[in-house]
Amino acid sequence: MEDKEERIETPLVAIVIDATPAKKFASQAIIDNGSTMMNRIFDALIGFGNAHLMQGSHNKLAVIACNSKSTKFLYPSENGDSKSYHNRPGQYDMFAKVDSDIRHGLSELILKDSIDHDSTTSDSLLGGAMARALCHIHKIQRELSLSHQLKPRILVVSGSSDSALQYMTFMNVFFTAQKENVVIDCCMMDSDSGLLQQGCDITGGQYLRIPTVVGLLEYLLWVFLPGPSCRSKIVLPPPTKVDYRAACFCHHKLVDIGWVCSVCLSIFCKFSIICTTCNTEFKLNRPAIVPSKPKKRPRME
Amino acid sequence: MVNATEGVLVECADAAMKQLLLHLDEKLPPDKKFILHDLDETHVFIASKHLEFLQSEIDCFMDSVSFPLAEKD
Amino acid sequence: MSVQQRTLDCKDLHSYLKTLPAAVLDRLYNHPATCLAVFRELPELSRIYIMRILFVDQAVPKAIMGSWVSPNSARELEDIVKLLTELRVWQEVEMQGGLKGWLLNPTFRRNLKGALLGGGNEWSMKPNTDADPKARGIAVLDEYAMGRWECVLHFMVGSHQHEAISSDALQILQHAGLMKKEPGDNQLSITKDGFQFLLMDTSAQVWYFLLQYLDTANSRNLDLIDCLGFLFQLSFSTLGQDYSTDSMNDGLQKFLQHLREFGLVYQRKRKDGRFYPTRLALDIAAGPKKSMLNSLNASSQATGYIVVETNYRVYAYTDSSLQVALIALFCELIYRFPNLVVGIITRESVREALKRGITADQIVSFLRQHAHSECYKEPPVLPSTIADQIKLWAIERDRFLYKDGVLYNQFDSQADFEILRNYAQERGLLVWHTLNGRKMVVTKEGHDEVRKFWKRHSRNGSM
Repeated sequence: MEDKEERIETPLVAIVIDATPAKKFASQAIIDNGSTMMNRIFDALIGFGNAHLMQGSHNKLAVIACNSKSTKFLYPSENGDSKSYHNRPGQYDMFAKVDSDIRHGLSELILKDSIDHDSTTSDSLLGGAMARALCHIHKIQRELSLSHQLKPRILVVSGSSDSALQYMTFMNVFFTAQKENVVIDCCMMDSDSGLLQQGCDITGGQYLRIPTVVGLLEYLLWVFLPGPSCRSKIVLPPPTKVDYRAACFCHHKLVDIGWVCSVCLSIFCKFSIICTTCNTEFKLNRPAIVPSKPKKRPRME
Repeated sequence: MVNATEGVLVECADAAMKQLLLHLDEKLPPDKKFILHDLDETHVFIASKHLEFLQSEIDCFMDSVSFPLAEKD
Repeated sequence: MSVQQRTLDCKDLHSYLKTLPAAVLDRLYNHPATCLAVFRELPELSRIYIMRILFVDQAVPKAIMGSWVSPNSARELEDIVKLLTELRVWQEVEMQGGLKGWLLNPTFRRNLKGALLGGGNEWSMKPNTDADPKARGIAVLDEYAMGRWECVLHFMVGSHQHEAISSDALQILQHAGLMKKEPGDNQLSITKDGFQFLLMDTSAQVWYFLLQYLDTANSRNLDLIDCLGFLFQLSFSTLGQDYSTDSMNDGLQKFLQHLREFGLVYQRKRKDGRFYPTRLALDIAAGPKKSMLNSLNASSQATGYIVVETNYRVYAYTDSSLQVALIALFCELIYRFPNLVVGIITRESVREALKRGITADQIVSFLRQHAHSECYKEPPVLPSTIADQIKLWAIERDRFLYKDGVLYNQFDSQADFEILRNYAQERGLLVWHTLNGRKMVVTKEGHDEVRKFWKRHSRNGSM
């Protein structure tokens, strides 16, 4: 006899926003009806967040932003005072709060970044922000009552290209997410990220690079609003070819072929006699088979 | 000539259950018989006035073939 | 004589809305809260469709919409189209060049967009601008809500330790067929439907009760649309926030007082000018299956109290006479302690419940819903042997399906038989037929019609 105990599905979307490309977009000219590109992006992100909350009364949302210096929880906001928002006529209270939290938090972050002058070229802390998102998901999962089942996923909205510096952080995040059944989706503006492609691929998420930033909301609503279970039913953009190159540990460069430590599997682009990760010495001055001793093999596909 | 009879159509879950009905009916004296027409494998047509009696008969039968699953003390 | 067993029909939001006339539906969508509630109850794929065309201000050709789903979900799309059309969320329109397209109901679009981004019709329920000097905490509200609601349930099971309920509530209970007055008896007694009602989960009870209430709204001089709109707003309000009554008209004020009686809103004094929605109210639009009360249950130990063992024993850690009475509906009670009742589920006790019209599913879901929090630590919450056995006991009673009807037999010719059979079939009066022996059974109600037709036919035939 079939007899299932139903648990209430509770979808949670954690949006991770990379704010470093803000400068690039801020300088972009005003488009059509007087709204700037930044406004367009803000509206799209808020619209998407609220659209997700609108899907069901159990849906949960978290929004985390990061730049090259810090990561910040925008929603639920870190400081609990929420009275500062003003309700637009007709808008649902909760949505108004999301709206003002994201708008304030994100602009604060971007403004702080723009007056701070020494932040020249360092990469964004996207990996850290994703790790915080995972922590948040884990916390919610523990707090949730047993009759509910969390369906968590992370949506990364970014516009900066790969930062091999954070290769390890990224990989740790991806494998943790995979273990915790968290799907990572990624919506890229303007540039591609090989690392995030890998992350989406590992966790079964959707990677999409959108051709125009103007249509951000449309892409978000169609491709990223439906949960993973519903995606098989709709026609989505074809999957991108995943760039599986790894970054070396010594110079943080993406390599096709490199040297792999036989003990800890660290990757190097140049040969060295001692592994910097695990301090293994490679005794290679002994026989004549010197070049082939540290295994030389392409990173697996 | 077409004949119309009022009553209750009984649909049995399986053929064995219908045989049980036939058996019950067979044992009864002529005035108590409830089956009007034996229609097919799983359908019989019975008189509505005997329905309650039939239901209690079946309950009795079911009671006699079930056994207590739980011990009380 | 009705030989069919009837289960209590607790409509969900959509099936209720489908019973409303089109004009009423269109007016309902004038409010963002209603649109939001209707939207949330839709299946996921249809929500995605609506989201995609929400910002498109014109009709979208069918061919384009069809290309959005993968081919093996085309059937699902058909169902969605039917549902959305029935709810008048969108309609089919003819586009330029004879193309068929779908257009979102403009009122629905405007208000759903409004709820999302602002700019639609105003919500009439507003938070109070000044803070309440005697603000109430969420715990107080929960306690109040459950207290009020249990008062109604207590009344139904006839425990006398509680105060009587108002005549309005009485009227609704009677109208809903949950309680009735036996002829010659002054007391109300609980009906078959009433027993089923008791075993439903709380949010389903509230929803069923409100539907019955809304049924009688017109006779109370209340505007159905105002009331529904207000209910949906309530369900989207914030727990622990107080709302102002200033902008409410007389009808709504009256409605508010009724809701207050059932525990859906809390108000310290009638003339207070403010009220607090409770969890019961917040659950309304969530529909029967997805209530927040369930999450409340698991977090506070007070509500989950039943442990069922595989030896059919039921341990209920409770001192509430209501909860004991509910368990006694399908259990044989064997021991009773101050804070614990021990019962045993037997074939007889379950059959007794089934005879009262309670279904096996209701018993099983009741046991699950009120399972002790310890049971959740090791699923399954309810031993599957118990769940299966209760269902088997129920099926045992359904070995026979009884249908009232009239049997026609002894047809003279195959042609006569076919004519009469087809006639009955077309009108939906045919219950059963066989070619073998030319017999057919029509419904009791249809007998007259079929007989008249037959007389006409045979007279013509003989001439």
